[in-house]
Amino acid sequence: MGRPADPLAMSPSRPGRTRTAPPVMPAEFPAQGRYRSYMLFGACCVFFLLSSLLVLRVVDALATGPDAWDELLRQFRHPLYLAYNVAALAGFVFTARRFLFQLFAKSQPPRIGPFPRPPLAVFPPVLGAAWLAATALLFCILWGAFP
Amino acid sequence: MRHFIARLEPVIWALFGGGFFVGCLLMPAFILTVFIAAPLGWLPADALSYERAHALATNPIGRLVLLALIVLPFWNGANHLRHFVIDLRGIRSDGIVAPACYGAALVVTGIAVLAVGKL
Repeated sequence: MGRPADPLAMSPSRPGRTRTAPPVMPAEFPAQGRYRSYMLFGACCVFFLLSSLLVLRVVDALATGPDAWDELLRQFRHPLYLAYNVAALAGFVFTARRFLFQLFAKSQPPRIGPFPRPPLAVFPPVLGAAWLAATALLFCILWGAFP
Repeated sequence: MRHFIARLEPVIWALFGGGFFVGCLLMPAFILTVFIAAPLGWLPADALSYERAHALATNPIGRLVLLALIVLPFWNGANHLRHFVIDLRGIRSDGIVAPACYGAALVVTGIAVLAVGKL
């Protein structure tokens, strides 16, 4: 068994009639077994925070003028920026794989509005197609494929 | 503060889910083109010139996409960071972490609305 768990986080809010053992963290937490993937997924939140701030910088540069835009692209050529953005790209793809293809279908309730939930096997191909379509469309727009 | 945040949980989790969708569906292509390909000169010459980038960004759909690319992933990251810290440090840390994360997300949301509106 691993270290003792946080009793406030894992104990019931009031004592029940059944006696229970003190809460204990799983031995594999945080970096072994299936917890490794879970913690990596959690750590990807850093990419969500930092990359959204970079998009804010893009908006600010566009609002400032052509010189600020050229200066921003010049700064993004720095190896540290490039290394971060390659790591962030890997993090977003990892998050997309886990969220769209593993978590999303399992987290849906039995009824979605007035409709019953589609079979679980339907979700991965539909979400995969949406992912490919959105990525390809945005990529083509930003690449200049459309005038 | 704990009770106030608990009452906001449905809104926060909706923003969290939206952040996943925007982050997963739009952010990879945006990072690849704007943050990697454009600085390295891999794009066609005027694909992301200032004039074209500004025209794309000031289009109503472009403004909406940019606002979503800033606000929703930040709320997602803030909520995920809060729960990541709870996993590692226990629920006692939540008294500081939750207000800090959501406060930062509120500030960034306000700045993003102003910045996109100023375009």
